[in-house]
Amino acid sequence: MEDEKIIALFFQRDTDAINQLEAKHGKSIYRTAHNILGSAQDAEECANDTYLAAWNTIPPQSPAPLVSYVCRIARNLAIGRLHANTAKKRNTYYDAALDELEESIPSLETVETEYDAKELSKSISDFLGTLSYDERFMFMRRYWYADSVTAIGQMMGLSAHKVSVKLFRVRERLERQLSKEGMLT
Amino acid sequence: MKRELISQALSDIDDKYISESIKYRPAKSGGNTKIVRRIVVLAAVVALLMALGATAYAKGWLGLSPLVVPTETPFVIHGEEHQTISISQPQAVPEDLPEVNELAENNKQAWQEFQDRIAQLPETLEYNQLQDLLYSYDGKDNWKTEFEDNGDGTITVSYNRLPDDFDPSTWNPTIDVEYVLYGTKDISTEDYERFGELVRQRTSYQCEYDFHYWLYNDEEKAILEDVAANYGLNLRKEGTYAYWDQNGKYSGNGFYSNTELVDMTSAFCKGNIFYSTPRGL
Repeated sequence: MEDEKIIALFFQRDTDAINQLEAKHGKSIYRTAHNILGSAQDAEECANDTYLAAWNTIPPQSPAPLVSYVCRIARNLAIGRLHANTAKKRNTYYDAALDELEESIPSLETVETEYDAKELSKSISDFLGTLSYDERFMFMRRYWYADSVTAIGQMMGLSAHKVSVKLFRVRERLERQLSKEGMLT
Repeated sequence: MKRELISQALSDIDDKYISESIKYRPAKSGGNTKIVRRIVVLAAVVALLMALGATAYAKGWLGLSPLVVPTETPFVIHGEEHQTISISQPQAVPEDLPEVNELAENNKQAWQEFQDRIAQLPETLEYNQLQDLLYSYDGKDNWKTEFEDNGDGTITVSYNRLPDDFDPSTWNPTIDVEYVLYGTKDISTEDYERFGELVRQRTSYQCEYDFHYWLYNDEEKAILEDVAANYGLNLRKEGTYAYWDQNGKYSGNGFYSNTELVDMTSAFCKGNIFYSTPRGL
């Protein structure tokens, strides 16, 4: 079913909207949550909460594209859930992905008070625009969707090692870019 | 702190990068991908134009305002509320447009007959019955339904509602909602699986007509074609949407001026729902 049709069902307050959303984007939502939470049960609950969030926000929202809207909600819910459970060990793909980024831009913390997340986000978005599609895909799958390098390799028909090397180079370029913009000391 | 900053920054990344990386599409590599901008959703203004023809526009643009259907939950675009115009139920056609009124009435009757006929289809009846069975409980609003397989041919369904103090307008999706369980019932595994099968069938159905006809199978498609033929209507094939700002404040990002809409309508309506070609000013 087309996204527009699903959104229209939400606007009609037809609960079939949830079924259709799940049928079309359920896998992406679940995977996004699972990569961050590392638990099937938590991911399933997070996916359900995502459907509720979509139900409560559409309308008035009429998101296009729908998939990024719901994945963003799933991601935010998953991160919120992860933070809420402070006793949880840092052992998910998401933690590993954040570790990589954190290490690649070590001097960010020295100026973080001067830049908020939105500015950093804009810089990263601008940076993504300079990458090739393959590089961007790897970056997004690793650091946004928190996929493992092995999983990314499988999607792209590459070895995990090759993905790791390419991501390393992309992170180096990101560091240079942020440095050029004065975001790093 | 830095970790949270990076995490938050990633959360705000541009939507287009999120959606393009849902699935690997190597054919689009190179960074020079053309962005095909769809004419965006709203208010079925174009649908209205198809239903009424551009004559209403030709009457000094004033024909549209009375046709707006007030809704409790209007679209919010750029922070402003917008109302919708019905595709199938054009209302309040100005009295000085008798020809348009006649077309609108014909369209309304056709739509009603179509709705009545598909409502009687065995599959529609079964779907609605199963949906009620699975998702309704005691006439109350149900916000979260959970299914637990008992392993004996039955499934226990739990119905949850939102807490009384829940306010969707201020709710932050990053905060978990504490649902309130208000009832359970047992259903058969057979009913549960049958409903899932129907949902899958309906979800996967595609045909050449505009999705606003809400067609879910070939039987419904045949009824639509029959009704259209009986009422002398043609059928639209592609969904087309446009934003229309009554105040003319927006002219870009999917919004169209009155003049542009008339031009578009002329193009859209050719050979479509009505035989007569619309005329703009």
